[in-house]
Amino acid sequence: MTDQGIRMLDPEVVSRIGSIDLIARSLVEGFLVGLHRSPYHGFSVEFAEYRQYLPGESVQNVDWRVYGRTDRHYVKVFHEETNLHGRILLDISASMATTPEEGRVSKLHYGKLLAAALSYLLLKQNDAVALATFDDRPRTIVQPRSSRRQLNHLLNVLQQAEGGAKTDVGHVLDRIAEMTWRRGLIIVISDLIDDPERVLTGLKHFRHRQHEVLVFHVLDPREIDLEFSSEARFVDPEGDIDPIRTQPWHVRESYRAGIEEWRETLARECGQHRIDYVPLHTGTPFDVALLAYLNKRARLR
Amino acid sequence: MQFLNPMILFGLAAAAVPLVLHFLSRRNVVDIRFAPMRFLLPTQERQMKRMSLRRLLLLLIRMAIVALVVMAVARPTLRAGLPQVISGSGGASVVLLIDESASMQAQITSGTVFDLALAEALGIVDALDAGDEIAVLGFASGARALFSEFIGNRDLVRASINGMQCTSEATNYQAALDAAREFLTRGTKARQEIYLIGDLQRTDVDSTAIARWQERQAGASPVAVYLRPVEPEAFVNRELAAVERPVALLRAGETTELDVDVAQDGRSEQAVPVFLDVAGVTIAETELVLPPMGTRRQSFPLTLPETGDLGTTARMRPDRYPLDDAMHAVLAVSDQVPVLMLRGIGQLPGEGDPLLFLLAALDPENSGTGRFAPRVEMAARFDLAILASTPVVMMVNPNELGAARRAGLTDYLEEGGTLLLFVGDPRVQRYVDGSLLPAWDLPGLGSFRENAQTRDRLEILAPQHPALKDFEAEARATLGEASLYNFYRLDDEFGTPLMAWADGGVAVTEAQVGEGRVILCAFDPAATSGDLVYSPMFLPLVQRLTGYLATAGWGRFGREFSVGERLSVEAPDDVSSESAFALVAGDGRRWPATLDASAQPARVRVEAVARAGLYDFEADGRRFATIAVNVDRAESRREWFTPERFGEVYADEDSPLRFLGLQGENVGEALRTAREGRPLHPLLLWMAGILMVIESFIARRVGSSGDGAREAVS
Repeated sequence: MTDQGIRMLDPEVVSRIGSIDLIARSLVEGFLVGLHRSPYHGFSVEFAEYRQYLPGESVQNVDWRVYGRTDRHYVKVFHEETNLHGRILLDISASMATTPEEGRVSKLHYGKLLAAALSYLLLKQNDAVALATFDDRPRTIVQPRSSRRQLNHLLNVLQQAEGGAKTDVGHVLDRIAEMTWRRGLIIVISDLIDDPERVLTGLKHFRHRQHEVLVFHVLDPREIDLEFSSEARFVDPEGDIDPIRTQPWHVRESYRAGIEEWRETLARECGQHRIDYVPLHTGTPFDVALLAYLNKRARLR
Repeated sequence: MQFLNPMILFGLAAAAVPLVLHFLSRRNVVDIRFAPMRFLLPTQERQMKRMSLRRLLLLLIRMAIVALVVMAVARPTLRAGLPQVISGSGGASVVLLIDESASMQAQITSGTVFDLALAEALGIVDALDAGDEIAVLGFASGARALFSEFIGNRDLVRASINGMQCTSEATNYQAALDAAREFLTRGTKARQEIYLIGDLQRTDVDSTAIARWQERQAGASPVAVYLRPVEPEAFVNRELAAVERPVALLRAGETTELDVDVAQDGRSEQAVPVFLDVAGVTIAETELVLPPMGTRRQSFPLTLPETGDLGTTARMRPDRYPLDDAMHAVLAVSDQVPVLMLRGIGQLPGEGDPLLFLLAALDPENSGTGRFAPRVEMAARFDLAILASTPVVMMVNPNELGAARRAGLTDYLEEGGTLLLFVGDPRVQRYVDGSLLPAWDLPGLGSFRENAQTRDRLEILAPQHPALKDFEAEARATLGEASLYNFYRLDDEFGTPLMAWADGGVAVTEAQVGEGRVILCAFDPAATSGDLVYSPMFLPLVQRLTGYLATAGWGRFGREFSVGERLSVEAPDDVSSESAFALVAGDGRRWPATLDASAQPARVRVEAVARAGLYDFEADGRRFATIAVNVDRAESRREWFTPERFGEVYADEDSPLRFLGLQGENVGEALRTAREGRPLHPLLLWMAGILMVIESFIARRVGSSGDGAREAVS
């Protein structure tokens, strides 16, 4: 991976770039340049079968070796690698839109960039990409397409996505799972701030419908370590819990234990149902997420 | 408690600063929008209660620290007992009362106690404030002022104090305090103080005079009286506490022991040389190491040279107070002591004779040459004149004396005679309880032991009594084995109990009748009353009791007197009213003595002598008796008032005088402490320091960063 690649994959650096389109392209191209020695190249098309040459066809696909052996014109038929439908579900609830510290990358922004990069990458592989944003219900749904224009459409939607209302991840996942008939790859980008049981039920619903599921669990680093140095009033962005005034250093240890246990539970439950669970925070370089996706994609080939 | 800078106490309002900062810091917390609130909630609830308690504690500690520092700056002082006396400023009228009495002449290492008192007075003058006005009064039996008015010139005051002289007068504190109070009326300052500098020698305190004096004081304006005791603690009373003569009869040519007790009240060991003089010649010398605050006894062996009175003097090295340094005693040396034994009616000589064992005790060999010369007479018929030459009378179960003989025996006892009385027969109880004991103002015999089946044993109650001393160990073993069944249980309050029955009740008691003594044994010394008389200790017991009565010498038989007491001894038989009598001191000085022929027997008398020592009575130039005159031990001890005790004696609740000791080596510091009180600000600063440590500890637990209140306090 080049230096430029490293820089570009850093969320702090990337977020300074205004155009989400540019970001998506830079991320993915930079990422792929770094992968030139990796086993992920040459995956775009695949040989399917031979068929009889029909007059008027382009001779470009005639297999001349076969002609040499059999004296007949056969044409090599390639078809797309898969007919994969990738569906990106981006949580845009209020909890995603806030950041505990001013000037930091919000979880929503991180999710948008990640969604953009994944969209670009999926489309680059000629996969169909769909996008749904949600809070307590699906807000925007972009139907799957693999055309080049789809990217602009997706990026446009992402660009305009703003923090919404309360989270209801479990409910939303259930609803989308009901709506999605065609099997495909479900990519969930969310902080999963909801009842873990309901979240897992929603995810399992996708699995039940034979979808492959990849969950990017995005948190703010401060939400993981609670590293605040002054007394503060903690306010629930979604207004469900009354504000709590505390000195974080007193509760830090038990808080961390609680968060850790939550993430471990999610990871364990997801593992048991063959759901790929990728814990991220807004400081995590994007290549971690992209690699996770590629691993998943490779297994689906 | 009072404050030297009370205005600074307004600064106590600063204690509210931590409170204000506390609330400000509560208001100024930042809001954090935080998504995973539900992970914060349970932990926060657990912490909430503990934290709010700690924060409250922290707040209180911080307020206390500020308050303590402010109070320390206000210079608090603790004053004992003089809250209302000291008030205001602008100087004080000060009277220095300096003790000039004779006791101040006592020698110490560097001069006299008086010199020390003058130095202390000068120290007080130096320590007084510039605005104070001073008067100086010397006092002993009265008081005299060195100036007619209060003056402010310190040099003049110092010069006057340096010129003071000690007197030989006694001390009168009331007069001195009265004079000081009177002088203070000339003072111009609102605050009045008296400083009394002296040895605080204890004087005879007449409580009625003190009460009248206190009454005179009532209603006057309050005055602080500071007492500065001069070196009383350093003085050690060393004295010959007692000279004990042997109780047994002393015979010429025999060797006996004289016990000398030397005591001290110092706090360290002291070596003291002790001498024994006999008949004017020093026969023994030794050095005793006295334990701290204790007594040492030294026994001097003594061979008695001849019959008659033998004067002895135990003495120490002459000390600062020579009165304490010698103690005189007279040993009566005689071949025999006559003992009159009175037999009751019906008490026949022979097997059942109750006098049998007593005679055996006094004259074991029945040779007439023993230590005692017993003479047996019928109680109802004996010649009263015999009593004049008899130091001890012995009587068993008396049932009839007759009124005249009972009265004669009573006179004999009241003049110093002694009686050893045995009563164990129930038939005589009516006479003894009804006539004999009431004549001597003694209580009755109590209950008689009637049950012949049970016996009782004797136990010694007073092992330190001269008659029983050193007798206890061997006596317990053997006396305890003997038993009696005819006896009385005397009342516990009958005289001084010496021995008791094992089952309760007094068996042997000593009672005083006039100047004489009666030892009453409440049992029958007969074989028919028990086996006590066969005990190997019974005869020695009788000998000891008889010897004690014969040699102790009370009343007219006495040879020892106190300074100031009238002196008299029995006149010898071979003198007439024409004879010349005199009292001769050891140094040859003589006083004429007179014969009192009206006394029975006749006595030679002299008015009191002023000095302790051994004196001889002479008739026609021939010595016939020696007497010893001693100083009363209690009178000769030097004792001091403590300032507290002085205050108790000379002030009551209504008194305007407030007494306070000026303690401490440096009189200047003591004066400042007394005037300003004990400074408390170091204590407060210490407390504040300790609280700061605690605060820092709790603050670390509560958390330090972002806490405005703590930063402000720091």
